[in-house]
Amino acid sequence: MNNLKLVTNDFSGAQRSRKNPWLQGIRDAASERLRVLQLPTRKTEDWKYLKLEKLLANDQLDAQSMQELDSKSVEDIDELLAQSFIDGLDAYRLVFVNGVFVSQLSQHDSNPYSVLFSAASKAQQQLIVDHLDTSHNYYHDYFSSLNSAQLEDGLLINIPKDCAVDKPFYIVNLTIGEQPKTSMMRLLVIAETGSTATIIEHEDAPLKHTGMVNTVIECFVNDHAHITHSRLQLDESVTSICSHRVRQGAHSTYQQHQISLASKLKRNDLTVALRGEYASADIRGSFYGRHQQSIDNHTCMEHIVPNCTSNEVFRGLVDNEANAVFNGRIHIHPDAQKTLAELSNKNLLLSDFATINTKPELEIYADDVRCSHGATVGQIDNEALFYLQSRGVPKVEAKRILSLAFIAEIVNQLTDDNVRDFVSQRSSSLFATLQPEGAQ
Amino acid sequence: MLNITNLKANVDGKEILKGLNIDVKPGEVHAIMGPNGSGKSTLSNVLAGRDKYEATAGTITFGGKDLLALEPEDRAREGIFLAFQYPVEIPGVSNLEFLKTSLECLHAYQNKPLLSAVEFLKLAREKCKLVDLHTDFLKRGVNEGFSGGEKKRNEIMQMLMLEPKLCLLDETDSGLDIDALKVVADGINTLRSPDRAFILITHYQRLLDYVQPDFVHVLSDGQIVKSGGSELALELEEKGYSWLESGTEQSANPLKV
Repeated sequence: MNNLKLVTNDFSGAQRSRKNPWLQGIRDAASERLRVLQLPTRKTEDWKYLKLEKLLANDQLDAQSMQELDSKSVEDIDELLAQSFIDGLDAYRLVFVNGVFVSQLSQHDSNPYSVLFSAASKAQQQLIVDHLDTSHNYYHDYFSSLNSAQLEDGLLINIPKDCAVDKPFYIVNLTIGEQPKTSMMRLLVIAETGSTATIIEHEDAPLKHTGMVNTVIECFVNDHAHITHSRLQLDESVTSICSHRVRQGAHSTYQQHQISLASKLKRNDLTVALRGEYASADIRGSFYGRHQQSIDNHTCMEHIVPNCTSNEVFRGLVDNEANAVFNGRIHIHPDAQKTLAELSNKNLLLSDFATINTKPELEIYADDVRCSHGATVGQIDNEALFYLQSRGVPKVEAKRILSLAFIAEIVNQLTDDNVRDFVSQRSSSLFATLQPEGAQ
Repeated sequence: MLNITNLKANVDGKEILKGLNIDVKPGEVHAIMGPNGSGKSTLSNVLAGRDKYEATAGTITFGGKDLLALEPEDRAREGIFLAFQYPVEIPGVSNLEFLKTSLECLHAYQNKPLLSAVEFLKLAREKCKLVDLHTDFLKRGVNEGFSGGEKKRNEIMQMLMLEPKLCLLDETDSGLDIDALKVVADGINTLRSPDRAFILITHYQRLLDYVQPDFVHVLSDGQIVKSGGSELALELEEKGYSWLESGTEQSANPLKV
């Protein structure tokens, strides 16, 4: 592949001097991996339903250099954001614009838990280096390696032992201004034993500017720790590839709610490794694609030790000529007896030209487990449609109501009232623009 | 108010209604009875405008308008309400949202002032009480997990909220215990007024013990074969339908003579 050469040359050849030399080891290791890894093609099983080579421009994959915003732009953005932020949310707010932290837009004065890699103390640097890229030592994909190879900065959230954080972390990632190159996002969460925290990530493009974001999230949820993680991907104009890896200790819980709008390409890889007994993972997601958008969700539950539970529910809505993929894998290792794993993916096709490829995968090497999985693809229920019409609701509006109802199960489970209201509002206004052609 | 003349209708290419005539004036209550398969539900579905129920001949006018030319939602906006035989469950849409949307759609069309959120909630609670549904039902998904009786009461509740001009009740009484039947009947009687009409489609006399009809029609094989006053229902209850059916086809039946 030509573009592969271009990209790898850029790392090993040009020897660009990057910030934070203490991260050089991470960058070097990733560059080394990239010598072998290739940009996925349709022949790569995990990517076979996407025309990746068409969706990504070669030059776009290279990271843009991180530039601080000038104060004028900050003011402009601040004004713009008044409407984009989640209302009424009392949180530690951390705002990134095109991958760069903007302190002036953030509210985190009394926040002792998070620090930028670039501001990390010696001890924190050590913690970061010890954890980065270790969440799944057996699997490194192309895009996350690209992220690591170009890593300059990131956000560390480190919850001390037995600490229950008083308010959520609200991480906002914005794409503003047409971005020709890739923004890199890197989040490292280390929840020490017995700690509790809530993280809300909100990706947005308030002016519908285009760009590409390559995100890597690693969550270490240690024994008896509890993490609630909401991910709102509301940036329809942004191409996004996200590798998200969770590693859980004994008796820990990890709960994720993901609300995703598709874009030219939106890819989410979520891997949860249950490495301590009685750990439990609860993953809820909903996605919506329209026009010629693509969205691809790959999840993998790695049950490595006995007595763990995973529950996964995804709902997809696909309209117009959009293309959606859901691949849910449950991998039960030989030692993982008494595993309880459930997976459900239901999809609604709103148009004759929309596509969904859904594939639940069970791979079980233990003999005393309880697993269930199911996937459905359907259309709007004509009986329900007629019921609404017979009560005076026009057909287009009835379709809108039924589409929203389909993902309501996921949205209603968002635990924070402010977040839930925000998402409900955004989704109703989004569906208010449902096109008649999509309503066929 | 409603005039049906020589209505013929097909379902999946099969002719079910074979020349049906009925005239309903404001204030009247008509009961349509008849054996299984006679076309009772087809009639209600044709009136409400359900897909696949295709009128092939005849006319239906409602308030002077050609009903068959209207979309289902417009029929509802003109004032037709169908209480479903099998109300649909819609998880994810609460009864409250459902009623609010419906009421707003109807009121906007009828140029009535929209209710405030508070007024609406008060009204909804009031109507719930009338049909003996706990107000918690308002928060639940439309008919989601409701028992058969609760679904039927919910239909009546909607009817009370929307105050239609013509209420079509498609076997609303079937499957109800006696208490629920009374609730349904009370709901209908509450709404009876000189400018509102009812068509009750039913198998049994039971409901008519509580709601006195002005006219009773017997539907058989897609046609009305006999019409009369409320006493006709009692006669049917006693004798069944066979004397009428055979009466039209085989004059040999001694009961007919």
